[in-house]
Amino acid sequence: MVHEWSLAQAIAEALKSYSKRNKISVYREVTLSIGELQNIDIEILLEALENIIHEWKEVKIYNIKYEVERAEFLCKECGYRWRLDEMSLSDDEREAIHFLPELIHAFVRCVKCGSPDFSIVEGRGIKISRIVVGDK
Amino acid sequence: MMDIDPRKYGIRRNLSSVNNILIILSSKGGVGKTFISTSLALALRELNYSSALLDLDFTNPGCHLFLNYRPKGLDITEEKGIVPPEIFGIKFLSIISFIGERPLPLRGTDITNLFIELLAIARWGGAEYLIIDTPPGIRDEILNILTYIDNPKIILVTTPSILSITSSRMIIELLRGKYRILGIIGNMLVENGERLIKNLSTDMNIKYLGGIKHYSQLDNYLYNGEFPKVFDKYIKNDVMDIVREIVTSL
Repeated sequence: MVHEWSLAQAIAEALKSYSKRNKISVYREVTLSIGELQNIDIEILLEALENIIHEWKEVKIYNIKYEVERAEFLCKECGYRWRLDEMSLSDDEREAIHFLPELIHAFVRCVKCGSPDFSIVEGRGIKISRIVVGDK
Repeated sequence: MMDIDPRKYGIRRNLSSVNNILIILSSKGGVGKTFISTSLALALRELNYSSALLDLDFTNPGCHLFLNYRPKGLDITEEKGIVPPEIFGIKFLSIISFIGERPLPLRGTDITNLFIELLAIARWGGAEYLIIDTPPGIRDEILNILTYIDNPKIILVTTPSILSITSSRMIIELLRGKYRILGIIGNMLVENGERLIKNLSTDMNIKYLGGIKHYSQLDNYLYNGEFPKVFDKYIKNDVMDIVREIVTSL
Protein backbone atom coordinates (compact mmCIF):
# COMPACT_ATOMS: atom_id res chain seq x y z
CA MET A 1 0.00 0.00 0.00
CA VAL A 2 1.39 3.36 -1.02
CA HIS A 3 2.64 6.09 1.28
CA GLU A 4 -0.39 8.33 0.54
CA TRP A 5 -2.05 6.22 3.25
CA SER A 6 0.29 7.57 5.93
CA LEU A 7 -0.35 11.12 4.72
CA ALA A 8 -4.11 10.50 4.89
CA GLN A 9 -3.77 9.18 8.42
CA ALA A 10 -1.73 12.25 9.45
CA ILE A 11 -4.43 14.54 7.98
CA ALA A 12 -7.13 12.61 9.84
CA GLU A 13 -5.26 12.88 13.13
CA ALA A 14 -4.67 16.61 12.60
CA LEU A 15 -8.42 17.09 12.04
CA LYS A 16 -9.28 15.02 15.09
CA SER A 17 -6.90 17.05 17.23
CA TYR A 18 -8.28 20.34 15.82
CA SER A 19 -11.84 19.16 16.58
CA LYS A 20 -10.97 18.27 20.16
CA ARG A 21 -9.07 21.52 20.77
CA ASN A 22 -11.85 23.69 19.34
CA LYS A 23 -14.80 21.51 20.46
CA ILE A 24 -16.06 21.01 16.89
CA SER A 25 -18.00 17.90 15.89
CA VAL A 26 -19.41 18.73 12.45
CA TYR A 27 -17.62 20.18 9.39
CA ARG A 28 -19.45 21.32 6.29
CA GLU A 29 -16.22 21.40 4.32
CA VAL A 30 -12.49 20.74 4.69
CA THR A 31 -10.11 21.89 1.95
CA LEU A 32 -6.67 20.41 1.40
CA SER A 33 -3.91 22.24 -0.40
CA ILE A 34 -1.77 19.72 -2.26
CA GLY A 35 1.63 20.81 -3.49
CA GLU A 36 2.37 19.99 -7.12
CA LEU A 37 5.99 19.09 -6.29
CA GLN A 38 5.05 16.03 -4.22
CA ASN A 39 3.02 14.56 -7.08
CA ILE A 40 0.58 12.86 -4.72
CA ASP A 41 -1.96 10.39 -6.11
CA ILE A 42 -4.95 12.48 -5.04
CA GLU A 43 -7.52 9.78 -5.71
CA ILE A 44 -5.75 7.34 -3.39
CA LEU A 45 -5.19 10.03 -0.75
CA LEU A 46 -8.87 11.03 -0.68
CA GLU A 47 -10.08 7.43 -0.72
CA ALA A 48 -7.80 6.57 2.22
CA LEU A 49 -8.90 9.69 4.10
CA GLU A 50 -12.60 8.97 3.53
CA ASN A 51 -12.11 5.36 4.71
CA ILE A 52 -10.50 6.59 7.92
CA ILE A 53 -13.02 9.30 8.81
CA HIS A 54 -15.95 7.08 7.84
CA GLU A 55 -15.18 5.08 11.01
CA TRP A 56 -15.37 8.14 13.27
CA LYS A 57 -18.28 8.54 15.64
CA GLU A 58 -17.44 11.84 17.35
CA VAL A 59 -16.63 13.96 14.27
CA LYS A 60 -18.53 14.25 11.00
CA ILE A 61 -17.07 15.76 7.81
CA TYR A 62 -19.51 16.23 4.92
CA ASN A 63 -17.25 17.37 2.14
CA ILE A 64 -13.50 17.12 1.49
CA LYS A 65 -12.19 19.36 -1.28
CA TYR A 66 -8.71 19.93 -2.59
CA GLU A 67 -6.77 22.44 -4.61
CA VAL A 68 -3.40 21.84 -6.23
CA GLU A 69 -0.80 24.51 -5.45
CA ARG A 70 1.63 24.98 -8.34
CA ALA A 71 5.27 24.57 -7.39
CA GLU A 72 7.53 27.61 -7.68
CA PHE A 73 11.26 27.93 -7.05
CA LEU A 74 13.40 30.98 -6.38
CA CYS A 75 17.14 31.25 -6.94
CA LYS A 76 18.85 32.90 -3.96
CA GLU A 77 21.76 33.95 -6.16
CA CYS A 78 20.23 35.49 -9.31
CA GLY A 79 16.61 35.91 -8.18
CA TYR A 80 15.14 33.89 -11.06
CA ARG A 81 11.76 32.28 -10.39
CA TRP A 82 10.73 29.13 -12.22
CA ARG A 83 8.12 26.38 -12.36
CA LEU A 84 8.28 22.59 -12.40
CA ASP A 85 7.73 22.33 -16.15
CA GLU A 86 10.99 24.19 -16.83
CA MET A 87 12.99 21.25 -15.42
CA SER A 88 13.45 17.70 -16.58
CA LEU A 89 13.55 14.94 -13.97
CA SER A 90 13.98 11.19 -14.38
CA ASP A 91 11.37 8.75 -13.06
CA ASP A 92 13.62 7.79 -10.11
CA GLU A 93 14.18 11.45 -9.26
CA ARG A 94 10.44 12.15 -9.38
CA GLU A 95 9.81 9.14 -7.15
CA ALA A 96 12.36 10.31 -4.53
CA ILE A 97 10.83 13.82 -4.56
CA HIS A 98 7.37 12.27 -4.22
CA PHE A 99 8.43 10.88 -0.84
CA LEU A 100 10.53 13.85 0.30
CA PRO A 101 10.05 17.04 -1.74
CA GLU A 102 13.26 18.66 -0.42
CA LEU A 103 15.27 16.02 -2.28
CA ILE A 104 14.80 18.21 -5.35
CA HIS A 105 17.93 19.96 -4.07
CA ALA A 106 19.90 16.80 -4.93
CA PHE A 107 18.77 16.81 -8.55
CA VAL A 108 18.22 20.41 -9.64
CA ARG A 109 20.07 23.73 -9.80
CA CYS A 110 18.78 27.16 -10.79
CA VAL A 111 17.70 26.72 -14.41
CA LYS A 112 19.14 30.14 -15.28
CA CYS A 113 22.48 30.54 -13.44
CA GLY A 114 23.22 26.99 -12.22
CA SER A 115 23.36 27.92 -8.51
CA PRO A 116 22.54 25.11 -6.05
CA ASP A 117 21.12 27.72 -3.64
CA PHE A 118 17.40 27.99 -4.34
CA SER A 119 14.22 27.73 -2.31
CA ILE A 120 10.86 26.05 -2.83
CA VAL A 121 8.58 29.08 -2.62
CA GLU A 122 5.29 27.21 -2.81
CA GLY A 123 3.67 23.97 -3.85
CA ARG A 124 5.85 21.56 -1.83
CA GLY A 125 3.42 19.33 0.12
CA ILE A 126 0.09 18.90 1.87
CA LYS A 127 -1.68 21.37 4.18
CA ILE A 128 -5.18 21.71 5.54
CA SER A 129 -5.93 25.12 4.07
CA ARG A 130 -9.60 25.78 4.89
CA ILE A 131 -12.23 24.53 7.29
CA VAL A 132 -15.95 25.39 7.26
CA VAL A 133 -17.71 24.39 10.46
CA GLY A 134 -21.36 23.34 10.53
CA ASP A 135 -23.98 21.07 8.90
CA LYS A 136 -24.27 20.60 5.14
CA MET B 1 -7.46 30.84 5.13
CA MET B 2 -5.59 28.65 7.58
CA ASP B 3 -2.63 26.32 7.33
CA ILE B 4 -2.54 23.17 9.44
CA ASP B 5 0.50 21.00 8.80
CA PRO B 6 -0.74 17.43 9.35
CA ARG B 7 2.72 15.83 9.24
CA LYS B 8 3.65 16.37 12.88
CA TYR B 9 0.69 14.15 13.87
CA GLY B 10 2.16 11.43 11.67
CA ILE B 11 5.49 11.67 13.54
CA ARG B 12 3.87 10.99 16.91
CA ARG B 13 1.84 8.08 15.54
CA ASN B 14 4.81 6.40 13.83
CA LEU B 15 7.18 6.80 16.76
CA SER B 16 4.62 5.65 19.30
CA SER B 17 5.37 2.06 18.22
CA VAL B 18 9.05 2.41 19.22
CA ASN B 19 9.88 1.58 22.85
CA ASN B 20 13.04 3.65 23.28
CA ILE B 21 14.44 6.44 21.15
CA LEU B 22 18.13 7.02 21.84
CA ILE B 23 19.65 10.23 20.48
CA ILE B 24 23.42 10.14 19.97
CA LEU B 25 24.60 13.69 20.44
CA SER B 26 27.70 15.83 20.48
CA SER B 27 27.82 19.41 19.33
CA LYS B 28 31.49 18.92 18.36
CA GLY B 29 32.15 17.19 15.04
CA GLY B 30 34.57 14.31 14.54
CA VAL B 31 34.10 12.64 17.94
CA GLY B 32 32.70 9.41 16.49
CA LYS B 33 28.93 9.76 16.85
CA THR B 34 28.35 7.73 13.70
CA PHE B 35 30.72 4.99 14.87
CA ILE B 36 28.99 4.87 18.27
CA SER B 37 25.46 4.99 16.76
CA THR B 38 26.13 2.14 14.34
CA SER B 39 27.95 0.09 16.99
CA LEU B 40 25.10 0.49 19.49
CA ALA B 41 22.53 -0.57 16.88
CA LEU B 42 24.61 -3.66 16.00
CA ALA B 43 25.19 -4.49 19.68
CA LEU B 44 21.49 -4.22 20.50
CA ARG B 45 20.78 -6.61 17.64
CA GLU B 46 23.37 -8.98 19.16
CA LEU B 47 21.38 -8.91 22.39
CA ASN B 48 18.32 -9.95 20.36
CA TYR B 49 16.56 -6.61 20.57
CA SER B 50 14.73 -5.31 17.52
CA SER B 51 17.06 -2.48 16.57
CA ALA B 52 16.65 0.44 14.18
CA LEU B 53 19.06 3.16 13.10
CA LEU B 54 18.21 6.57 11.61
CA ASP B 55 20.96 8.69 10.10
CA LEU B 56 19.73 12.23 10.64
CA ASP B 57 22.74 13.82 8.99
CA PHE B 58 21.06 14.72 5.71
CA THR B 59 23.96 16.63 4.18
CA ASN B 60 26.82 14.40 5.40
CA PRO B 61 25.42 10.92 6.02
CA GLY B 62 27.92 8.31 7.21
CA CYS B 63 26.17 5.36 8.90
CA HIS B 64 25.80 3.60 5.53
CA LEU B 65 29.59 3.39 5.22
CA PHE B 66 29.77 1.56 8.55
CA LEU B 67 27.08 -0.86 7.36
CA ASN B 68 28.71 -1.16 3.93
CA TYR B 69 25.37 -0.22 2.38
CA ARG B 70 25.71 1.49 -1.01
CA PRO B 71 22.34 1.33 -2.81
CA LYS B 72 22.41 2.16 -6.51
CA GLY B 73 18.87 3.54 -6.71
CA LEU B 74 15.81 4.20 -4.58
CA ASP B 75 15.79 1.46 -1.91
CA ILE B 76 12.68 1.66 0.25
CA THR B 77 9.44 -0.28 0.44
CA GLU B 78 6.01 1.37 0.57
CA GLU B 79 3.61 -0.07 3.12
CA LYS B 80 1.21 2.52 4.56
CA GLY B 81 4.26 4.80 4.61
CA ILE B 82 7.83 3.78 3.96
CA VAL B 83 9.54 0.78 5.49
CA PRO B 84 13.32 1.11 5.93
CA PRO B 85 15.50 -1.61 4.42
CA GLU B 86 16.96 -4.15 6.82
CA ILE B 87 20.76 -4.15 6.83
CA PHE B 88 22.64 -6.66 9.02
CA GLY B 89 19.42 -7.20 10.95
CA ILE B 90 18.93 -3.47 11.62
CA LYS B 91 16.06 -1.38 10.22
CA PHE B 92 18.17 1.33 8.65
CA LEU B 93 16.97 4.65 7.29
CA SER B 94 19.22 7.22 5.68
CA ILE B 95 18.81 9.80 2.97
CA ILE B 96 21.19 7.49 1.05
CA SER B 97 18.22 5.14 0.40
CA PHE B 98 16.59 7.91 -1.65
CA ILE B 99 19.42 9.71 -3.44
CA GLY B 100 22.54 7.57 -3.04
CA GLU B 101 25.71 9.57 -2.44
CA ARG B 102 24.60 12.74 -4.23
CA PRO B 103 25.32 16.09 -2.56
CA LEU B 104 22.23 17.60 -0.91
CA PRO B 105 22.58 21.34 -0.20
CA LEU B 106 19.91 22.39 2.31
CA ARG B 107 19.08 25.55 4.22
CA GLY B 108 17.47 25.41 7.67
CA THR B 109 13.84 25.46 6.50
CA ASP B 110 14.54 22.61 4.10
CA ILE B 111 16.20 20.58 6.86
CA THR B 112 13.16 21.03 9.09
CA ASN B 113 10.73 20.12 6.30
CA LEU B 114 12.79 17.05 5.40
CA PHE B 115 12.95 15.99 9.06
CA ILE B 116 9.18 16.31 9.52
CA GLU B 117 8.30 14.62 6.24
CA LEU B 118 10.69 11.69 6.76
CA LEU B 119 9.53 10.97 10.30
CA ALA B 120 5.87 11.40 9.28
CA ILE B 121 6.10 8.58 6.73
CA ALA B 122 8.77 6.24 8.19
CA ARG B 123 7.34 3.14 9.85
CA TRP B 124 9.57 1.36 12.31
CA GLY B 125 7.49 -1.79 12.78
CA GLY B 126 7.59 -1.81 16.57
CA ALA B 127 11.37 -1.52 16.96
CA GLU B 128 12.45 -1.85 20.60
CA TYR B 129 15.31 0.60 20.13
CA LEU B 130 15.65 3.38 17.59
CA ILE B 131 19.13 4.92 17.56
CA ILE B 132 19.30 8.37 15.96
CA ASP B 133 22.69 9.54 14.73
CA THR B 134 22.84 13.33 14.59
CA PRO B 135 25.04 15.87 12.83
CA PRO B 136 27.31 18.15 14.93
CA GLY B 137 26.16 21.58 16.12
CA ILE B 138 23.06 22.68 18.00
CA ARG B 139 21.05 23.57 14.95
CA ASP B 140 17.89 22.54 13.14
CA GLU B 141 18.22 18.75 13.37
CA ILE B 142 18.82 18.81 17.13
CA LEU B 143 16.13 21.40 17.83
CA ASN B 144 13.69 19.40 15.68
CA ILE B 145 14.38 16.28 17.76
CA LEU B 146 13.70 18.18 20.96
CA THR B 147 10.53 19.73 19.54
CA TYR B 148 8.93 16.87 17.63
CA ILE B 149 10.06 13.68 19.37
CA ASP B 150 8.38 12.83 22.66
CA ASN B 151 10.59 11.60 25.47
CA PRO B 152 13.95 11.37 23.67
CA LYS B 153 16.74 9.75 25.69
CA ILE B 154 20.02 11.44 25.04
CA ILE B 155 23.45 9.82 24.98
CA LEU B 156 26.39 12.20 24.71
CA VAL B 157 29.66 11.28 23.02
CA THR B 158 32.99 12.94 23.68
CA THR B 159 36.68 12.36 23.10
CA PRO B 160 39.24 13.38 25.72
CA SER B 161 40.12 16.47 23.62
CA ILE B 162 39.58 19.80 25.42
CA LEU B 163 37.63 20.95 22.35
CA SER B 164 35.16 18.11 22.73
CA ILE B 165 34.95 18.26 26.54
CA THR B 166 34.25 22.01 26.49
CA SER B 167 31.59 21.48 23.86
CA SER B 168 30.04 18.69 25.97
CA ARG B 169 29.79 21.01 28.98
CA MET B 170 27.85 23.50 26.86
CA ILE B 171 25.36 20.97 25.52
CA ILE B 172 24.80 19.50 28.98
CA GLU B 173 23.99 23.02 30.23
CA LEU B 174 21.47 23.39 27.43
CA LEU B 175 19.73 20.05 27.99
CA ARG B 176 19.80 19.49 31.73
CA GLY B 177 16.58 19.93 33.64
CA LYS B 178 14.24 19.54 30.69
CA TYR B 179 15.54 16.54 28.75
CA ARG B 180 16.67 13.12 29.91
CA ILE B 181 20.41 12.56 29.48
CA LEU B 182 21.17 8.86 29.97
CA GLY B 183 24.88 9.47 30.19
CA ILE B 184 28.11 10.09 28.33
CA ILE B 185 30.31 7.73 26.30
CA GLY B 186 34.03 8.34 25.92
CA ASN B 187 35.43 7.61 22.48
CA MET B 188 38.95 7.44 20.97
CA LEU B 189 40.44 6.84 24.40
CA VAL B 190 44.21 6.87 24.75
CA GLU B 191 46.37 6.96 27.91
CA ASN B 192 44.74 9.28 30.51
CA GLY B 193 41.81 10.17 28.30
CA GLU B 194 39.22 8.23 30.25
CA ARG B 195 40.09 10.08 33.48
CA LEU B 196 39.30 13.43 31.81
CA ILE B 197 35.88 12.20 30.70
CA LYS B 198 35.13 10.67 34.10
CA ASN B 199 36.01 14.05 35.65
CA LEU B 200 33.57 15.72 33.28
CA SER B 201 30.81 13.26 34.19
CA THR B 202 31.42 13.84 37.93
CA ASP B 203 31.55 17.66 37.54
CA MET B 204 28.37 17.77 35.51
CA ASN B 205 26.61 14.98 37.41
CA ILE B 206 26.11 12.91 34.26
CA LYS B 207 26.48 9.13 34.28
CA TYR B 208 29.62 7.75 32.62
CA LEU B 209 28.38 4.91 30.42
CA GLY B 210 31.82 3.62 29.46
CA GLY B 211 34.63 4.18 27.00
CA ILE B 212 35.88 2.87 23.69
CA LYS B 213 39.56 2.88 22.76
CA HIS B 214 40.95 4.58 19.69
CA TYR B 215 40.78 2.26 16.68
CA SER B 216 43.57 3.48 14.43
CA GLN B 217 42.51 1.17 11.59
CA LEU B 218 38.87 2.31 11.50
CA ASP B 219 39.23 4.15 8.19
CA ASN B 220 40.77 1.08 6.59
CA TYR B 221 37.86 -1.04 7.76
CA LEU B 222 35.46 1.46 6.19
CA TYR B 223 37.39 1.70 2.92
CA ASN B 224 37.26 -2.07 2.60
CA GLY B 225 33.61 -2.36 3.67
CA GLU B 226 34.69 -4.55 6.59
CA PHE B 227 33.19 -2.74 9.57
CA PRO B 228 30.36 -5.22 10.33
CA LYS B 229 32.89 -8.11 10.23
CA VAL B 230 35.42 -6.24 12.39
CA PHE B 231 32.65 -5.20 14.76
CA ASP B 232 31.78 -8.85 15.43
CA LYS B 233 35.44 -9.76 15.90
CA TYR B 234 36.82 -6.89 18.02
CA ILE B 235 34.65 -3.85 18.64
CA LYS B 236 31.64 -5.70 20.01
CA ASN B 237 33.52 -6.56 23.20
CA ASP B 238 34.11 -2.85 23.92
CA VAL B 239 30.52 -1.89 23.18
CA MET B 240 28.54 -4.65 24.92
CA ASP B 241 29.18 -3.37 28.45
CA ILE B 242 28.07 0.11 27.40
CA VAL B 243 24.90 -1.26 25.83
CA ARG B 244 24.06 -3.27 28.96
CA GLU B 245 24.61 -0.10 31.01
CA ILE B 246 22.23 1.80 28.70
CA VAL B 247 19.56 -0.90 28.77
CA THR B 248 19.60 -1.06 32.58
CA SER B 249 19.45 2.78 32.81
CA LEU B 250 16.12 2.92 30.98
